Amino acid sequence: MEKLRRLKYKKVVKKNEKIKIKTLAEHEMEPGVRRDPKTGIIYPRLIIQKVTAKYNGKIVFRANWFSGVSANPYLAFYISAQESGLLEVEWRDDYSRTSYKRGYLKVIDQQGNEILPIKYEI
Amino acid sequence: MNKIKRNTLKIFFGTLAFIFSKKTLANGNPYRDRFQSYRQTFRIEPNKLETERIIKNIIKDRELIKNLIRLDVPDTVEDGNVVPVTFAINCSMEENDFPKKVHVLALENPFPEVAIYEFFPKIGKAEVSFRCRMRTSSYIMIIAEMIDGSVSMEKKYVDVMLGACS
Repeated sequence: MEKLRRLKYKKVVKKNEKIKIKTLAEHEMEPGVRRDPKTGIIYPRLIIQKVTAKYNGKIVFRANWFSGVSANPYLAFYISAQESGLLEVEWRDDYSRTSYKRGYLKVIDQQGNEILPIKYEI
Repeated sequence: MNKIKRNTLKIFFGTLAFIFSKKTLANGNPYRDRFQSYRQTFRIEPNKLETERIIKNIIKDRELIKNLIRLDVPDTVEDGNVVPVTFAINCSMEENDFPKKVHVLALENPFPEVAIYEFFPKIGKAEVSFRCRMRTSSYIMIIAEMIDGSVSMEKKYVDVMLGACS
């Protein structure tokens, strides 16, 4: 079953702007302490351990989580825009199962032209 | 003829014993607990000495710098399952001045370490907001390790009305 993963940010930005990137993952972070009220059996632990964010292939931010993070974890962090490119966020499970979300970021200079990551001359 | 009978009987009783043993083991607690304790990597009861040991291991007798971290947590929280935490670190994100690792601890949780955030140079701002769980009203502590080896700490008391079972 596909679970919800959300990635939100300002799509078109100027150069050297600090962008807030908001992510949300639908996941019941089972802490491994809760018991079944009828049988008393402990639910086994199942959490998201790592979240990594990449901007044009470079790692920009990483979070290592333990059982203290709330269910449906929300995370917001900042990057500074230099050139337009790909934004990727990866969530990694206890069993190292991964899920991705990616998006395109457009960066413009003062004249309104897009700054591309690859520079070429005609 | 006798030999074949004996063998068939052996197989028959063997399979019966196998099935029954499996059923009895599956119903009992120890069989299931063995699998659960495999991933049970932390203590259930909070331990004060353990939290002190964790904090000592992070700081390692280094001197603390003041006024480096800004921590925004509400004073009172109704639900301990969702405690919004935002922190920001006062630094220019240059190559020689950025936080390498930032630890978030909720003291008096069974597993006091909540999260570790890693930062990289030239990413604008070292500010993160997320939500954490708290069992009882206690301190939230943030320890930042800078790239040049200095450490700083900030803590704030949070009153929790209804605690989470984390």
